[in-house]
Amino acid sequence: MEALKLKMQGIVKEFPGVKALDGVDFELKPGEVHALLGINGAGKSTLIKILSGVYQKDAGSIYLDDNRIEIKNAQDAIKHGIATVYQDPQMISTFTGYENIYLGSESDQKGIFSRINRKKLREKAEKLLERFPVDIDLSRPVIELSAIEKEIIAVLRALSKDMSVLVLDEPTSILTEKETEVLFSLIRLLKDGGVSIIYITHRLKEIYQIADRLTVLQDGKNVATLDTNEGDSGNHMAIAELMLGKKLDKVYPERGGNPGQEIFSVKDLALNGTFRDVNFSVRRGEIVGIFGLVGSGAEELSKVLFGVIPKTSGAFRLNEREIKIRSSSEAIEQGIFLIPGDRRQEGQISDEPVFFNVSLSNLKKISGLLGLIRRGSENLSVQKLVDQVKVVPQDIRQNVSSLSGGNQQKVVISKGLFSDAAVYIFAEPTVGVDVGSKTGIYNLIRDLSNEKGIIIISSDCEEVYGMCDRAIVLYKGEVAMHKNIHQCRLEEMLLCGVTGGGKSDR
Amino acid sequence: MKNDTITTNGFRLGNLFQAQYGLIWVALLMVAVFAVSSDVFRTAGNLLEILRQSGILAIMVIGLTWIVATGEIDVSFADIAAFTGIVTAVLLKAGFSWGITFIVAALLGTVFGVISGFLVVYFKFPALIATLAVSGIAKSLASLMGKGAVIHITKAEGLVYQLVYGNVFGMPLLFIVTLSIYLICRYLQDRTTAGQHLYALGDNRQATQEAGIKEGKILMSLFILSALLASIGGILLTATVSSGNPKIGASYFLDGLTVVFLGAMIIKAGQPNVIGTLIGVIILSTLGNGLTLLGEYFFVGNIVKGLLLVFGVVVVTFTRYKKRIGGQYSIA
Amino acid sequence: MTDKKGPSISDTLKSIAIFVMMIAVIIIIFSLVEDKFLTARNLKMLLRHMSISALTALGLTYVIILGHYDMSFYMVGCFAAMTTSYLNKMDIMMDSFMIGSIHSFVIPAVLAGIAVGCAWGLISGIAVGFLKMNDMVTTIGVGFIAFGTAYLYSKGSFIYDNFLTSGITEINNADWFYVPFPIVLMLGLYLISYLILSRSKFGRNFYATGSNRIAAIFSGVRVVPYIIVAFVICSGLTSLAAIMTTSAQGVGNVKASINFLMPAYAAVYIGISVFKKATVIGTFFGALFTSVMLNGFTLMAMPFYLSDLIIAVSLIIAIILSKIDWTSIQKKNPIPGSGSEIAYEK
Repeated sequence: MEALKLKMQGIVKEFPGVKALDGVDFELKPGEVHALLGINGAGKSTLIKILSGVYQKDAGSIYLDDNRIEIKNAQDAIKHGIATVYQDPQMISTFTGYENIYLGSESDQKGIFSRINRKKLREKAEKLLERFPVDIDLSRPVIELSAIEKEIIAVLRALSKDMSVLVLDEPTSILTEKETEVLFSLIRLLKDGGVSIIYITHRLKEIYQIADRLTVLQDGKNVATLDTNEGDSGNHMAIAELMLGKKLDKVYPERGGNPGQEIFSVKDLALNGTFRDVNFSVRRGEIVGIFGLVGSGAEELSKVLFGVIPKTSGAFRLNEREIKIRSSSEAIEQGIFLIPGDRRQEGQISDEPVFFNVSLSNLKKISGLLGLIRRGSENLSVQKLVDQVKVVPQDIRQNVSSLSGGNQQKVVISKGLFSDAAVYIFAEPTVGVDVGSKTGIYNLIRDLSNEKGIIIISSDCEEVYGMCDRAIVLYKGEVAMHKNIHQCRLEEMLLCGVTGGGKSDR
Repeated sequence: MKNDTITTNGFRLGNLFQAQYGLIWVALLMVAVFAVSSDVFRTAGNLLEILRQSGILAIMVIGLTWIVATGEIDVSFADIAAFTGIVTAVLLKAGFSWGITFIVAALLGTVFGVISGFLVVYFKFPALIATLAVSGIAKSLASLMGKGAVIHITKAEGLVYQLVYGNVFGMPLLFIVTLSIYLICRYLQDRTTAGQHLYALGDNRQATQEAGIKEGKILMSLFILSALLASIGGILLTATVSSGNPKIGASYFLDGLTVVFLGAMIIKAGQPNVIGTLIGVIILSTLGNGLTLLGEYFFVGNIVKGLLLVFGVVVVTFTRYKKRIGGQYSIA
Repeated sequence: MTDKKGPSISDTLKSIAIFVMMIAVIIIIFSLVEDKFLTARNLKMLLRHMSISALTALGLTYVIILGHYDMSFYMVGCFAAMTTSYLNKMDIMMDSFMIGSIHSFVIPAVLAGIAVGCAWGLISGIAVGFLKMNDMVTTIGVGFIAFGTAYLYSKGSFIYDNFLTSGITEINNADWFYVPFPIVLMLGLYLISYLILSRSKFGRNFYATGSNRIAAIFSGVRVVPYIIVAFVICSGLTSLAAIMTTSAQGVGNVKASINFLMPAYAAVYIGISVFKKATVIGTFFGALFTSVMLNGFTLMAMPFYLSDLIIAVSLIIAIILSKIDWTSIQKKNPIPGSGSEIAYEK
């Protein structure tokens, strides 16, 4: 048996309410490019974070070059030669490329006043770069560089530390087609140089271009490890099925009956550099689902619909009237509410109690003369919503930070309900939500759709497929699919999200 | 995508080059006005005086320059200088030699830096509050020692006299010393890891942390350094004017911050740096000197310096490379 | 999940209890050391002095709630005081009449002083809220501009004219139903601010913006106007306080409010150390605390220049104590990487 570079065996990792990894085995051969694939919540990110020292495994073992190792923190990982490049690598924007590459290790000498020989550093950096067919001016501040150039600098930073294992987390999500090619040639050269690479992505086409093997994670388990033979474009559908596993584990509520009047519509919506030609309408009783993975423009779309990011062009219509959405407060006034994707940063005010969070979206409803809040009225209406939405525990005076993820999400939803909107946009409605609460939230959304316009924007394709009546798939900023749900299959939807469905790429 | 543009919510005000350029023109204009309006201004003696007086402020604000570069602030430096100035006067009056006085005063002043550093790094005080409190303590203790009044001492003699009033090759020795200190500091700032890391801190704390750089150590050292240098400035000031004044805090405070931001505008594209600060000090001293000679009341100085400070902040704010919050779009 | 529980009601009551005990202890110590302390006359004087610093602290509270800092208010107050003194001297009304023992032209003089103070606050507010400039340094600059401009009124010398005759000193001396007017003003404004910040929708928006600005925006809060208003209120209330001081001293002094900086911050932050966030009641406690300290020490013949020392030390001790008791205090600029990852990302 040939020697393995890296072997992860029986890795288990649990979070409160969620078992992210359920005994995962993963092997990496020396000098191979091994792709890691999986839908939302499958565990890819968690596995990688254990490897890079950000998380600690609950059980299992890791072997590097046949030696058992423990990775207790980020420094450990680096010491073992494992480097990770995340999606948006953190850099010092005013420093040059070579300064970022050597940040923290600018000098061989110890001590706080060690001399930095800039010329030497630059030469060292350029030497590193020499091996690759890219031309980057490492003396320019990185803020001026393009996405691929920044990624390459992040990769070079990893290389400068003599890495033998390189992990790339969704490296192409922000790259153009041409830039992806550059990245691939970089990867091939690294391979030749003996570096073993783990490549996380959802883009199947790329996997078949660059990877030697691929592993599919599904629901915290390794369900398949396949070879990608040269020239084989792969059976995408089979892989999609592997990623999905047992279909529709979670119970999604029954679909609605006849859709009613159009409530909200979007025409020719575009955001420069991110998405374009988005058209759809939302009718009463009908949930519109937009599925898009990282880099598809879905996240930005949710914010444009809410006015938090100004659109480049396009029009909105609400109840037959054209409306302007130029700010979040205007959106709410018009009757549109977004339950945002990043709950902690965007959705909730963690240090404040539940009632504070809920009523914030529509304070005038509960305030009277001179803006004074009618506490009694507030308590009543907030409690009603909280009970309706089933937040547990029900005390509306407790701080939101003490609630579980699922309940926190329900609080944010309550805030939306409190604003009495006509259209609700749910971005990533169940991320970080335990399974038990997910069902509750789905039922809530379905019930809501009977009266209101609902749009779900998510990178969880099962969720979108299970919930919506009409499905739109975004891929690299363009609408790759727009169909009635009964006319498409889940695998088809996922495939569209990972390959663009055969549409020619930009 | 060149980012050295001054914009505010989409209103273009020009670019950094224009601002620097503009400042140079303003400075030249200012010098011209003064030169024309006052014969004294034009004399070599006066110009040397400007350089001499620059020295003290310049030494005081090196630490502040770096503290602001890391994204923190220190509002105590001027009152620490006042404190050490009084301590110097008291010790000298009590008969101690300059050598001992210098060491004791400097040490005592540095203690304030240790306090500030502790409060910020270990107790997680906001830097403004910590240094504000420390400045209050320093100012009060300074007043305490002189019972609220200025303490006069005999004019300095010998070596100290030479240092403060003497010239070397026609240039004030004090300024030469200051310049030397600045050159050393520039080396530290641009050519050592310490300087590199402090700028990294100011730009992206998370990246700095991930790179394993010890933020706490750097901040602590900076607060101590700032206090030390402010102390030295205070001692030199007492030597120069032959008295310890507990109330100099306010004026040096505004001056210090103004020169740091002017300096940030001049060099290093919006980041505070020592050479820029030095140039800022010279500009400010010229301004002060000219206004005094023209008989303008000192409060005009406040107005002008306040305006310069605000201008400096405007330029620095808008030329700082826009950082991304939450993806490619900054929402707030 | 490393979510921290917020302070429960009993925790807050505990810290209030501790704090009240501290004030009680201090009062007891003072009354033992100096028998003049607990006299009605002294207490009245204490409250009078408190009213002025408390007003400034109140204005600052609005800014701190938003997570910003203001370093201009104490100098803007000087400008306002000089404006009022100057207008008072110039006797600007054609036909002035008497209101009680106050000439009517005093009113517009006072109102103008407050108005110009607000105008400076508007400048700071727009710079920080709309132009997104750094709050600390910008307000330092604006403050000094205001301070320097204040000297223009009389080239820095005191304005005595009309002070004794116009009745402007009555503002400070008058009693409203046996309570000195300044105290009435303080209590009234604190009450109004309490209603605004703790009981109205505006207060909710203030706290939301300060706690999580992005989430506030996502909830439809228009953050920029609130920032502007906060700076206006801070400068405005301080201007009022500066005018009150001027009235009390009976002379227009360009340094009227120059010492208001430290006590204001101390009051607000002592309040924060008790209540975990900036509040009207907390600031009131803080102002009370510093005033009691100052009053006691003054009675013991402490020289005036040591007042900053007392206040600074109290501030430091208060904050340190509060951080030792609770582990969930958040700095305004948190060291990044401290528990900000979502534990279960995809």
